[in-house]
Amino acid sequence: MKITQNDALVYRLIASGSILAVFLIIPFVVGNYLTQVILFGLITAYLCGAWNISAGYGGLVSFGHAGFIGIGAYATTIPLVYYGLPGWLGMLLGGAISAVFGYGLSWAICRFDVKGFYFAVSTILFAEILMSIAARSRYLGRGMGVPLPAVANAFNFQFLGVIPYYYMALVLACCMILITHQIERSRLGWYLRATRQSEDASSALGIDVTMVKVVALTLSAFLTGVGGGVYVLALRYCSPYDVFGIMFSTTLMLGTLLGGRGTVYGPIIGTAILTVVKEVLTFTAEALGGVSSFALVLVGWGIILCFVAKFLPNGMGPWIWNRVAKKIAV
Amino acid sequence: MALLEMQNVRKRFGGLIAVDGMNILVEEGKIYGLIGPNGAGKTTLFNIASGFYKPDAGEIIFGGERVTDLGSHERCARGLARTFQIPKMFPEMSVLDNVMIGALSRTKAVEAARRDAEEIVEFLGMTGKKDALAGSLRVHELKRLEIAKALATKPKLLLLDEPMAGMNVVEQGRLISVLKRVHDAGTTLLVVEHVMHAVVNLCEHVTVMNSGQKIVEGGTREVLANEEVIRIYLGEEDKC
Repeated sequence: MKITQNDALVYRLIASGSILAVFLIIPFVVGNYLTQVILFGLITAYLCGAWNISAGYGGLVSFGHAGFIGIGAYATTIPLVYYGLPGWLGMLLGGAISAVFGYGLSWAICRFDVKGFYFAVSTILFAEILMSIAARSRYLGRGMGVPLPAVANAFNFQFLGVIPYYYMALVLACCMILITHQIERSRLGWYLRATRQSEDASSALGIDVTMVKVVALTLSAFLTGVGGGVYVLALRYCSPYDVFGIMFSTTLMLGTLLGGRGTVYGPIIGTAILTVVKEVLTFTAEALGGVSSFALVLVGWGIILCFVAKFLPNGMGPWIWNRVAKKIAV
Repeated sequence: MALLEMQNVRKRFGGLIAVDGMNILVEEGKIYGLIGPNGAGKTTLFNIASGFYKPDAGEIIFGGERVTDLGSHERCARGLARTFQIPKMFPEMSVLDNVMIGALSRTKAVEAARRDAEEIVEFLGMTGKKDALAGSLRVHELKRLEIAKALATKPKLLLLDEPMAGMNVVEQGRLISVLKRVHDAGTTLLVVEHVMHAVVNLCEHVTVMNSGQKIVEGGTREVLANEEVIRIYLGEEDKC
């Protein structure tokens, strides 16, 4: 069945609209627990999208993006708890400080020609060093971290219930789709893809590879920092081992790679799969009794990663799209 | 008028002096050849000209402007483009998309770049393959893509690094015609080459390099008939 370009656009709009409508009414249809699960799923999807910009498109595979999450988290928490700085301002502050770190990091890797494996390791160190500092600092709450007070102050972005945070997360996820979509079709998007595939060829064709990397990493850092702020506001707890943790960094990578790196919807699809698997396995582990749910989830995610790496290296998103596109033959 | 001037360029790698006081002058509108035996320093000189290496000494002047300290992407912006001997393309992108990257150096608008790229692809006779993934192309097609990408940056001077390498005589003949058309359309060419029939067919002017130094330069026929040039390539005649 052949359809025209215009029809395809209409179908896409209808599909997007329906999905969005579903997400809008979810809090009123499912219980509190599930709403919270989806809330954090949306935040994670957003963060995966931020990682996708510098890593998926730009090829700067950072293993320590939690560094930026943590910066955003603490930049939101500390001023809020100690000085009453509104949450939304903290988010932006977190994004800005993350951006500065991102800028510094990208400048350093270009100046010292740090690539591939070495770049990955340096980002791990980046997150781990920040975690160590935060876990030892009395001002930052040491290893216990800092709890956020449960008050209702809408101006500060502090809410008692789950629902307002759910919509914040939904807004974030939608923004990420729009941002990624815009980047993908802009010249920056083309230059990111070119730089990832061949720096020499890019340079010979007039691309300032350093500039591309700096822009990619700084932008990604900013967006990740903002996400870190929203995360701790919704969780109401800022713990160094959580926000700077390797598990968080790994989740971002896993979600993006699973769903399809370098695509607009990949991070979301990947996060959805991870979230569903996590909930199912957690439920299973609890039902079984003596099994650690954390361990079971790790095993489950690990199996999925192996499967995708072997059979669908471009991720599930492109695979699904290929099947759909073949069926409707656009 | 001199498009490219390399003055007293020197480059060493540790103990090896690869380029030892080379002077090159490329005039606009001509096709130049740079030849010499393996290890003569041609590729090093080429990489210095295109901005991939920084010289230890000497100046590079392009279009009257001193570009010695500029990187390759800045030289490309000024109209100095190059191809790679072993084609470096974007393997996950189509032929058209590859060329678009070049076109995007001249315009920010993606649609305009696509139109420019399609023209270049057409000019090089690759329209049939424009949607093929670059990673799936054969060697002679990749060579053509190399040229297409560089052409999309609208260069005044195109440096070609052994474009004939890896192809059979028929394919080489076709590439020579392509390069002639590129030249006729207004681009000055400087070709590093080993394949002599290509040099004879394409280049009006030739510079011979050996051990980092210029041996002789001039019109192609005279240079290739020069005794010293023959000796460099073929070795001393045994006097038995």
